[in-house]
Amino acid sequence: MVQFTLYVDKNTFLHRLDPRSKLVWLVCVWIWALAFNNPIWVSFIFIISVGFGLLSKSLSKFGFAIYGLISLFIMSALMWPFFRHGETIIYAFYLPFTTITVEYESVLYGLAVAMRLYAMITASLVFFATTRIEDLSVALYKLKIPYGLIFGITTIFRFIPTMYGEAQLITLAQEARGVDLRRGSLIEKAKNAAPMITPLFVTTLRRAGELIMAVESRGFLMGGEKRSFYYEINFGIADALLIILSIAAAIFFHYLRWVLGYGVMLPQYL
Amino acid sequence: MSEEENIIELKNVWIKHRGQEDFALKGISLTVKKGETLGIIGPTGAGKSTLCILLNGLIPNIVRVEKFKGKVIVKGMNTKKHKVSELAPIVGVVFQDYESQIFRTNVELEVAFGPENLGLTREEIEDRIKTSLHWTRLTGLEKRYTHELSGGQKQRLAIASILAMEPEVIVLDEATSDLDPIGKYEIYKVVEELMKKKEITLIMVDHHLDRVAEIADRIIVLNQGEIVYEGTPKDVFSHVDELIKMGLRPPQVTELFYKLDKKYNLGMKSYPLSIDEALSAFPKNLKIRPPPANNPDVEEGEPAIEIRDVWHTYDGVNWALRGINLRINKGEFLALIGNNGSGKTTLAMSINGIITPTKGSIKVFGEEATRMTVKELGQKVGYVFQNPDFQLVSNTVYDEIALGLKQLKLPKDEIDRRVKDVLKTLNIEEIEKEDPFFLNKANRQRVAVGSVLAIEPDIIILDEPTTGLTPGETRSILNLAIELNKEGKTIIIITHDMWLVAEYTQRAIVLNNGQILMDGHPRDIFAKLDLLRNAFIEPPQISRFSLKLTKNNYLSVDEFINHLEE
Repeated sequence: MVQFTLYVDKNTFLHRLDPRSKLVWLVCVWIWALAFNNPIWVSFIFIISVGFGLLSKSLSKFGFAIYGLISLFIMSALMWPFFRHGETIIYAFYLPFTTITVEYESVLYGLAVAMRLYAMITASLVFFATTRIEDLSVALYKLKIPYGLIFGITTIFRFIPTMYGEAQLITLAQEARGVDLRRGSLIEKAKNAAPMITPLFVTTLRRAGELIMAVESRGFLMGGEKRSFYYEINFGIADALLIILSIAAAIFFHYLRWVLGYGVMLPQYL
Repeated sequence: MSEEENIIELKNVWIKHRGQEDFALKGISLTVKKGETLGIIGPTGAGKSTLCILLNGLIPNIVRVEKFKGKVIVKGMNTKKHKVSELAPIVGVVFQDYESQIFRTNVELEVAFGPENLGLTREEIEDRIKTSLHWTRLTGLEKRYTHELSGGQKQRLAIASILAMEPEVIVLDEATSDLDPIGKYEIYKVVEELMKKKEITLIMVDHHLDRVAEIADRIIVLNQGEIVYEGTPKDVFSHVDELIKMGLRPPQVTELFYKLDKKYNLGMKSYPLSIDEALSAFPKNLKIRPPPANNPDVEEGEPAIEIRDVWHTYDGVNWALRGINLRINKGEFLALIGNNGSGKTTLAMSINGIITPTKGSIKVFGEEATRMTVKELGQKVGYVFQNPDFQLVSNTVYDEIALGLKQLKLPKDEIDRRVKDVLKTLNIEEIEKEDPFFLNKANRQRVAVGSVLAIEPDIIILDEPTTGLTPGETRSILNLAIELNKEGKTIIIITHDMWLVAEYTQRAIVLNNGQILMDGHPRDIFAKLDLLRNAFIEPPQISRFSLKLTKNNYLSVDEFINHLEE
C-alpha cells in the first residue's frame, strides 16, 4: 500500500498535543528561522526542529525528502551569491561588459537560506507526521476557517488513493492490451501515457457531480457554520506551555539579532 | 385518507434535463403514505434516478434542469422553497455509485458526517455510529480508512451513513447492486427491522425484482418517464409479457406460472411471487420428467489453465487466496462465484498476469504465467474490467478496438479486417465513429469487450460485466459470450447474478475466503443449499422452487416447462 498522508501513527507527546498549539509552534519555527542569516546560527534552529522530529519518532519516514533537500542545498549555495553581495571577494568572472563577483559572505548567506528552508521543512513534516487530517480540520474549524473550505481540503485526502488506484487499473488494462507504458524513450512513454488521462479525468468529473449530490443529501452546512464534531481536540497545560515557549523563543531570537546583532552575515538582508 | 398521512406527494411533475431532447419525467403524479414500502422498477433511462433525486430536493435546488413543472411536497414542504439541507434529514437517499458517496477518510467519520451536520452531541453521534455500523455488518471497522474497503463494504457504509441520520424516508437507488445475494438480502432485512421499530417509509429502485416483489407494498413501473403500471406486486407482476418486453425480469416463479397459464389454460388472474405461494399453487395433475444429465466430464479435454497451490496476499497479513488448485480446459464456459471479498477478482487477475501471486504456479497453455509479461499474457488471456470506463481511452469506437492491434504492429489491412470483424460480432457497426465515452453503459461494455476480442485471445475473462445493466442488456452480452465460446474460446465470467450462471454456464466454481468451496455443474452446485449459504450465495428462484417441489434441480424456467407432461 502506498502512503498518501504524512501522518505516522505513533503515540508520542507531540501526537497528543492540540493541533492548534502545534500550528503556533510551526509558525514560530518559521519565524525563528528568519531571525539569523549566519549558517551556523541557523543550523542551531534546524537542529531544534530535528530534535522535535526525534521526539515525534517519525524522522525515519522522511527519507523520501532527502534528495530534494540535498539539491536545495546545492542550488541555494550556488544561486544566492549572484543576488546578495557582501565585501570579501573570493572570485570574479570577467565578462565583456560587466564583472560578476562572488563574495565570501554571500556564499555563506546562501548556505544560511538553505538551512532556513531545512528548518522550516523539517518542522512542517513533523507537524503533519503528528497531526491527523481529521484533527486538523477540527482545529481549523475552531480557528474560524469556513467549514466548506476545510471540507474541500480534507476530501482531497480521501480521493487521492482512489484516483491513484484507478490510474493503476487503467494502466494495467492498457498493458493487458499490449500498450507498453514502461519501455521506450521519454517522449514515447509520454505519448503512450497521454490517453490514460482521459478515463481518469472523465471518471473524476463524473464523480465530482455525484459527490455534490451525496454531500448535500447528508445535510451539508445544514446549520450554517454551526455543527458538531465527533473527534474532539483538547487544549491542555502542555499546549499552553508549548505556545508560550515558542513565542518567547521567537522574541528572544529576534532580540539577539536586531538589537544585539548576533548571527548575521549580511546585516542589510533578512 | 388525510393529507397528513402522505409523506411525499408529486403533482403532475415534468422534468427535462439540460441538453436532452425528451422529458425525463412526463407528468408524474404520485403519493407515498407514511410507513409504506414503494418499489420503483423500469428499464435504464426510464427516469427512476431522476425521480429519486427529486424527493430530497436535489432537483431543482442543486441539480439544475432545463424545465421543471409541477410540485413535489415532502412532509408538507414544497421542495422548491426549501433547501436540500432542510429536506435531507427527512429523506435519506443512497445512490448506486458508492465511490462518490464516501468522502471522508475513515469509516466512523463517514458515518458521523450526517449527525455532525445535525449538530448532535459527541455521545449521540457515537451511539448512532455504533448502531448503524452494527446494522450493516461493519462493526470492528470503525478506524479503517475508507479507501481500503472492498466494494461491498463501501456500499454498506453508504447505507450506514444515511441510516445514522435517522431519516423518515429512506430511498435506495440501486444501492445494493454490487452486493452479493446474501448481502442484498441483509440490507433489506436491516431496513425491514427498522421499519418495525419506527415508522419509516422505504422507496427502492432495484433490478432484482424477486426482492422488490417480496418487500414492497406497492410497485410503480416507469417507462420513458411515465408510470405505466401501479399497484400491488401481484397486480404489477401479472403483466409478465409487457415487463419482459421492457427488458425487466419478473420473479422466476411468476414467469413460470404465467407460461403455465398460457400453455395449460389454467385461467389464473394473478401469479405467485414467492416460492411458498408457487408450491401450493402448482397444479397437481402435472408430472415432471427428471432433468437432463450433465454434459460429459470436462477432465478429458486439453488444459488451458492449470493452477497449482496458488496463494496471494496484498498486505502480507491477510491471504486473499489460500491454496487454489484448479484446471480449466480449452473451450469451457465457467463462472467464478462467491461473496464480496472471496477472492474471485484476485484469482482472475492472477490468470491474466495483472497480479503475480505470492506463491504457487499458474500455467497458461503449458507456459508459466509468472514468467511472461502482462503484454505477452494479454495476447492469450483477455480481461474485461468491471468498469468499462477504465478500459476506454480512444476518441472513436474504431480506434479503441484497433488500439491493441496497433501495438502488435500488424499490417494496416489486417487491423482493419479484425476491427470490422469485431464490430460485426458485437453488432456495433453503426457506432464505429462515435466517442466511446458518450455511449450508454451497455454499449461501453460492448466496446470494452471488443477491444479485448480484437487481440484474439484464446481465454476471455469477464469481470462482473453485467453490473448496472438491465436483464435485457445482460442477456445480449451473455449471448455474445456464448457465440465466442462456440468459436472455441474459453470463457471465465465473474458474477453475482445466479440466474445467469444457471442458464449460461456449464461449470461454476464457488470461492469462499480465498479457497475453492465447490466446483462442478451449476445443477449440482445450486442443489447444495447449506454450503451455499455459508458462501453467501442464493441459488436462482426457479432452482430453489424445483428442489422443493421435485428434489430435482432445474436451471431455467424454460427447462422446467420443457420437462412437464400432463
